[in-house]
Amino acid sequence: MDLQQEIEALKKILERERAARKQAEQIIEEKATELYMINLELKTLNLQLETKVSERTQDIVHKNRELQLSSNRLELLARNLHFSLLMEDENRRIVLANHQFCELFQIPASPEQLVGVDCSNSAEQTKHLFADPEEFVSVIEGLLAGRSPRRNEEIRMRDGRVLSRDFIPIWNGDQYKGHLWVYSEITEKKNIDIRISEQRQFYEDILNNIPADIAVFDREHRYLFINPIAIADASLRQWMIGKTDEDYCRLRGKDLSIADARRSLFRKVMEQKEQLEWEEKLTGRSGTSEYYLRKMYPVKDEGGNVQLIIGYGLNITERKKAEQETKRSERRYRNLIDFSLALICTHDEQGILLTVNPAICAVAGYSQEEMCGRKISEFMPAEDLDNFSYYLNEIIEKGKAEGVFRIISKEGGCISLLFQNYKMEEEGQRPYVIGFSQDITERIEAEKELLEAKKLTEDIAKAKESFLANMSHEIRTPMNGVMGIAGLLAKTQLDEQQRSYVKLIQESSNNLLVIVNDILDLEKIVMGKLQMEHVAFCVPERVETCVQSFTFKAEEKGIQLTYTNRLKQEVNVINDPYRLSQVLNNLISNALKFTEQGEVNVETSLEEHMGSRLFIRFSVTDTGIGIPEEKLAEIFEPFVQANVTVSRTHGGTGLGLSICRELIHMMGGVLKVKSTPGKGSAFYFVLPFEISSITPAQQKMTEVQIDFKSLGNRHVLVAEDVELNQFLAKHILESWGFTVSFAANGEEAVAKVLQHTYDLVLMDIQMPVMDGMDAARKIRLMEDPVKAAVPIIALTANALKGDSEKYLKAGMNDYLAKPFTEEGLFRVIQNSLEPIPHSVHEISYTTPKPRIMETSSKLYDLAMVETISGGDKDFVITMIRLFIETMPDTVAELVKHQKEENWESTGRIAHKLKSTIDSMGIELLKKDIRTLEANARGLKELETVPGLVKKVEETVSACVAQLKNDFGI
Amino acid sequence: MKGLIFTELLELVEQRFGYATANKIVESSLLPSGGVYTAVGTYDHKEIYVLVDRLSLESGIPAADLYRVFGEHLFTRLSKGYPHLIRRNNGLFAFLESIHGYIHIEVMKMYPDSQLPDFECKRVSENTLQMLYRSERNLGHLAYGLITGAIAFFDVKGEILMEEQSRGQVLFTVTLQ
Repeated sequence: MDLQQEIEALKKILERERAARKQAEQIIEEKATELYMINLELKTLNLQLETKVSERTQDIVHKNRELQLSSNRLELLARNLHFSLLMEDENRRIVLANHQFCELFQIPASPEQLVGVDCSNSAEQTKHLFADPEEFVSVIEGLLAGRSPRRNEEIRMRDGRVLSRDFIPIWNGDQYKGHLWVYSEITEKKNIDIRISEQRQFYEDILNNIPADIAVFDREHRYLFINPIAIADASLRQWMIGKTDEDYCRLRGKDLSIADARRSLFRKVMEQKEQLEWEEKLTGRSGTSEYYLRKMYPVKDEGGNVQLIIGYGLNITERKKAEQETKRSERRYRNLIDFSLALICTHDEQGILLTVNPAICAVAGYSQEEMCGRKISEFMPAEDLDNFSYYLNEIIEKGKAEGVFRIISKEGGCISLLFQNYKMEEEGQRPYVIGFSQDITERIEAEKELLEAKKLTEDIAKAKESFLANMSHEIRTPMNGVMGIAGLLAKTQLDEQQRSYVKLIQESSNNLLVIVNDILDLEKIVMGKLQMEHVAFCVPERVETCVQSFTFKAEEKGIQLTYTNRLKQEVNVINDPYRLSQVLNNLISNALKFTEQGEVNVETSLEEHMGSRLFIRFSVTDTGIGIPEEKLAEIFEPFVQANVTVSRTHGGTGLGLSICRELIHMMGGVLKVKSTPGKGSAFYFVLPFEISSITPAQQKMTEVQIDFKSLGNRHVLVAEDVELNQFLAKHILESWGFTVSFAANGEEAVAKVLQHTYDLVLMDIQMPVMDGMDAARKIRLMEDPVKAAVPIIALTANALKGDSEKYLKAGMNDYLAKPFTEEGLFRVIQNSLEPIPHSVHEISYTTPKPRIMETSSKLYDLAMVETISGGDKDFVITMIRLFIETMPDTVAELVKHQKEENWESTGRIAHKLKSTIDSMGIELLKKDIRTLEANARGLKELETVPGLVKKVEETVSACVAQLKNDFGI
Repeated sequence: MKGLIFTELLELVEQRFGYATANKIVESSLLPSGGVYTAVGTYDHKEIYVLVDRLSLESGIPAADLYRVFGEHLFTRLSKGYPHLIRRNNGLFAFLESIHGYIHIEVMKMYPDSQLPDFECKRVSENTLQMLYRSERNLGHLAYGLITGAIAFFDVKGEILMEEQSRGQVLFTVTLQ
């Protein structure tokens, strides 16, 4: 049983064991698979691990290499640094040094050799290299003890070098691992620093002395710099650095508005990054306004960011005041223009109106807007447009124009404007024209009427004039007959009554002649045709002559005629001596006429002497019948006499005083009269005279000294195409004793020079066929040296300045402008001919020739004869003919008597010649002939007589020649 | 619990109590595993309580003693099966101390699903070591048997004082003579 139970139990156990085995097999199978998978995974992991290990190994190798490289680099760096390096470990053994270090401290070893060397005592060993060895040592010890970095310490070497030293302790965590010394030489930098500092001083000096406020601001508008012009007080200036305008205003108790304004402008500059300028008005301590022109300039870096702002301020108070003044003044002028009644406008160079004033608008009827911008010509009548373009040219070229414009008003009326316009040029502006005008429409109308009236009057006057001239001639011709026959009649046997009748005829006809002459004179004066002479003369002499001519008449009437000269000096003046004589003759004649007994006195006295002017008083006083007071005002009127009965008693037309008054007026004076009826009259006037710079005597001397015959007989070729000029030259040159030939053009002149030998050629420039210039050139090229060298004088009517060179270049010796005077021609010819040893001539050339009278080349003056003739040319010719025919004989007689030393006859003939010389106006001889007469008659200074006679002879001869020539007689 | 514990227990029961007793306690225990154990498998640890309780009932030997005998037997088996895990050099205490820090770690490497007890060691003196056993499974007597097996393995003489401090926490004081 037990066995059975045991078997059963075992069977059961076996069964369980089998199940357990299967279970275990299954687990193992699973585990095996799991293991396989894990193994696979493990392999992969292993592979990865190997890769990683390999990578890490490579990495380590690489890092090792880099470490080596970096070590090499460090060494290279140390070697090539500009600094001198020395690295020591915590025990002061050298770890690293570079070549520069060895050099700097003159260590005779390589940097590699230094590695490991103990430096504990190095400071002591090297201290002798430094300027202050003890300080060097103590500083080194201090640094080593302190173990804190120190940079840029400056050390001076004994040899003058300056070094900069850094001490850099090396810490690894809190472990001290040594330190690094870095030295660099900064001697040069030090010097540069000094120079920079000097330069900085230089610029600061400039900034400090610029006459403007200069300030530099940082980006927050704080002051970085401020110059003494802006703030004079140095301590305040210092205070301002880093401050703002607000700070300043608060400090000074000033209004903050200025600071606010500046700040907003500052912001603007910062934003816009462009400079800004504005004007600032500040109120000074004394309450006055000060104006500043301020500017802010941004200073930008390379990226365009504002780094600094420079402020600049200039006191422009004066300028501002001037501107305000200008504005005020402009406003005033503006008002002046706006309220002016004158028409004022401006226009540009094209004639486009720029501005017009209200007066213009009022006249034209257009508004300013309607006118400005339009061309002036648009307002003008079509027919005036040419005038306008002419006007534009004129105003642009000459800068000024005046005249009359016509414009059409808005209403269509034609308005005449008298304008005076000026071109205004201002720098930097286009030129413009400012025009002033006035409306003369009404005046033009009136003038038109007036012109018509005037023309009518002139026509009438012309008719009157020609009537008078004809009448005078018509009267004079039969008068010649009457007077001539009366003269013949007087020489016949007559009884007393017949004689008195003849005398009456002669007096009446003389009176009639005077009347005719007076009428013509007055007419000339009225028509303004009377020309005044300006001649030098001696006043007392002239008066004396006048008085003398009446001596006979006065004696005849039994009246005493005297001349009182109160002029103290010899008075040589310039005026018209002939008209003065005419006035005096008239007044003396009147005085004698109205005085029955008593005397007539002529007086001259000095009224005033003002500079170069003399005021001489002339008076003619008589003891005649006098003039009633009520008639005094009328007596100067033409055809008026004091008493209607006068003309019956005394004759005359009543024109004399009227003529005197006009002549005196023309000479610059006023004829006045004082009179007491029954007692007499006094006529007086004061005339102004220019004092002559030379006396008439000098004038004569000068002329005398030109001896036109001094050049002898020369053969002159005159190349001149105008016959009249040929004639003139011939006349002048022959009077000098020259032989004259003519050529009508340049070609003929050249031919003549080839054929003949001349002493001189007078060459006109403008001639037909060949002009003077070409002719001169041709002559200069002639083979015969004498002909080629003949003196040639250019005569030209168009001698402009600068032309002389042209003529001289063409080979001319000299030139003379037409019309020329005889003296001028003489001078030029004399210069070109061989000089003549005669000192007198030289004096005469150097004496400046004053302009005495226009007819100075003439030896005679027919004014007196012409006055006497009253315009009768035949009379004048007769006088001249008479002179020519009789004078040579009379002069010959004079010469004869003088040679025989028959002084009385010489004097008599001189006296006879005197009146002729006076009437022919031979000024050269007037004084000499009197001297001659006086000396011959008075038997004094007789040695002068032959010279005077010779002069009379020569002058008269020349005068005759002139007259013959001039009048073709 | 590792299948090894069950196979070793049943083998010991078969040796000491015969196949019939072994079969009897297995069949009477109505185990979820049906008493089929393999050393490499893993089974519910409660089955060990049921088997030992059934054996104690069958044999009349207190369960604590059964656990102690089984512990001693188990150490001998383990020391033969895994000799590389036992460091002989440094003596018993060093071995005991290495259970928690070394052996259990190695066991976990082989059987990651194992649930091992805590052994915190403290040397009180040169000859005395305190070991604090902590485990949910509350197998202090098994541990006692294992320590006894270790003392025998190291061939030393010593006493084991076992103080059950609470359920699952037992303090062993091992004193060498």
